[in-house]
Amino acid sequence: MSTLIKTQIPTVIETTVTSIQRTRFKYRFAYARALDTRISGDTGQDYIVIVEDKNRLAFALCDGVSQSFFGDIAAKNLGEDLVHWMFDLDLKLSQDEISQLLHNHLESLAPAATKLVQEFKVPDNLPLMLQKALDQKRIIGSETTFISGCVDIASQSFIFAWMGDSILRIWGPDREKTSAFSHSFQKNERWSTSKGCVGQTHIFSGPIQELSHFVAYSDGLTNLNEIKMLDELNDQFVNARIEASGDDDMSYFEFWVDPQVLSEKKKVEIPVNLHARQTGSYLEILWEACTTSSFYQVELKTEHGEISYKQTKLPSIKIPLGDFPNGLKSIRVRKVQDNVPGNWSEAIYSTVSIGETGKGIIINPPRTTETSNLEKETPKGRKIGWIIIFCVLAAIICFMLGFLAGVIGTKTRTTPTVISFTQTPTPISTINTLKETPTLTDTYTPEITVTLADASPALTITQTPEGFSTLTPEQEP
Amino acid sequence: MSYEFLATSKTPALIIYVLDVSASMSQNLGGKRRIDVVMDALQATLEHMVFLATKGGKVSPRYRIAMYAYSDHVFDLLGGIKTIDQVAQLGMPELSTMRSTDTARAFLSVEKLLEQELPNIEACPAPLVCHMTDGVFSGADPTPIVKRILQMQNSDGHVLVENIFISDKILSESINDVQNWPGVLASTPLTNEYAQKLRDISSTLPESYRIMMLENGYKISEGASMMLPGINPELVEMGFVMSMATPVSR
Repeated sequence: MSTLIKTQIPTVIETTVTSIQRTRFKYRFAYARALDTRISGDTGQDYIVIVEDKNRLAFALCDGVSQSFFGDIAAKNLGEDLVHWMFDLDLKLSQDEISQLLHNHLESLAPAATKLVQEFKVPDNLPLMLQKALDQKRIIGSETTFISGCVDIASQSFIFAWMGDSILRIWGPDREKTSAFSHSFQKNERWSTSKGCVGQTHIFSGPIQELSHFVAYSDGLTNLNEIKMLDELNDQFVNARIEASGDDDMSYFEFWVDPQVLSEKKKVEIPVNLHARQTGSYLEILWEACTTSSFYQVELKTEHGEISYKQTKLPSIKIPLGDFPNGLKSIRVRKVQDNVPGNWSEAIYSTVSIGETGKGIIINPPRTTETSNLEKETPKGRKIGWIIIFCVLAAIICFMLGFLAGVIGTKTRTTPTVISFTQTPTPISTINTLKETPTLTDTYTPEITVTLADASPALTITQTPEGFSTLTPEQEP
Repeated sequence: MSYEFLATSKTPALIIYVLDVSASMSQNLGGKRRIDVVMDALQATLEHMVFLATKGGKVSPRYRIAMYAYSDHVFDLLGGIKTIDQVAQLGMPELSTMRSTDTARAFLSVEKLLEQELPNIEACPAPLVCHMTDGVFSGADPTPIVKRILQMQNSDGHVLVENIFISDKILSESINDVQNWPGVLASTPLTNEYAQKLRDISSTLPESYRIMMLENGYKISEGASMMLPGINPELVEMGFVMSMATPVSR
């Protein structure tokens, strides 16, 4: 179980840009209170909290609404809850499912938070006008905007959620992608202890390959909106903004995925045994089900080069033959897992035009000359062939090494400290398991494998022991 | 000239109230003395300013207030400009009615104050002068002085002048629904000559102020004048709400 690290940026002092480097990602943060809050020595109403392990990081950046009842109450309570909720979130869920879950969760937090607000004691000796203002605000409740998110390196996915006018900016490997949702930072949307969600919760998620970097900051730093080039957001620049105290609190969180992670393409299973058959007036395409799959995507290419795609959650699909008046040239399929498409399967080819009648379908096995546009898989049969050759060679080498070891052993008398005996002849049995049905002509030769653990490098010797004879099929019980 | 500078503790909004306390302010308006209606509305306005300026348990000095009452003389009710947190400590001053209505004298005091203040509030919201009266001036015509004030400006815009005229002889049509009333427009017929004069020396409501009024539930139209007919307590209150419609951060 990996270690969980929680970081909460202090709200009673200013924090200049602080960078944290982890194995698979890095991030930095900064925090400053509004000028009048600094002068009076009060707590800032922005709140940043981060929870991480080696593969996953969740964060919450909350901006307490100053016109609500002590906005820092809502900011702290929501931030503390949301960061753990995000960290524990199943990122395989769809965006709609997460949106609904989040909305329900935010609503469920309101009653307990309302109690906190009701029980919050304000000083007795306040001026009457201030006392009245606080009484009114207490009825409204404590409110906060938020941006929260989770990046998971293991499942190669990310999600962000937000309400209000704090800013989230996202960069993919090639460009900034913020325009996809920049309209949704609404001033009037927030979470309220008395009302729950005021307005809409916004969600943005995707595979990690689409996220190289993101920045989240509260509305006290909206002058950063003008920055278009990432390299301008250096420590010096951000610190200058943080130190130029303003009327609003300022909080800043920035995150990078390690470039190595981005280059690791997610390993998605490739469907095998793709074949097709005619069933009535349908073409039925089938393949072996993958162990897990969000859905499969089937690519259909006509004789004229037109390509269409079908999606299915099952390892088969039926398509009316009439859908291909121009004939069908090839079919291939790939698995899509957590919105990440895998490599295409080997294509199968039609040698006879299907046409409107749908007669004469022959779907051939893959042509060896045709390759998919992604990484091509080694055909199963060819792979087995290579393994057989490799194993035979290994057996010969082992035999020779054994012979040499026998000669050397008698001369140097090396005593192995750890000796293990394996009576199953490893190389030959490996060959046999590769043959789907062993035939009676196979020959089994008993062997002893000796491992010299303290030899450098470690040495494994396999020999046929004296006194044993090779078993032929006729001698088997 | 945007009128979009936010009222903040670093760039507070300056609002100058000029209140007529002539003898006629003792007359009845909606079951109360006019002066009491005005003071109630002003109290509500200051309380709302405190509400907007309160962050946590403290009042942020987002607003600076000056308050003059005038009759034969001009009285500085707060002893100079005070920040809203100071006003919250001081509470509301008490007023009693006096005799005549020397409006020009009051605006001369305002002009003098603005001349002193404007060089120091370049980055702040444009100052606003909120004048409340219930009758024709008894001294010199204040129009030339007010027009000079209207020409004063800072980076946010010209000084704004708002007039709340408490009288039941201003509009030809009654206002039944204050919240949906579009305001006094340039084309709105005014039955009172002094009301027309006051409209002439009132600013046009800036769009940013109109948005704040909309957020406060008043569906006031674009191009409305910052001149309010105080024919009932609700409209007087609306006039004071308008005086604090400077945009603020949330």
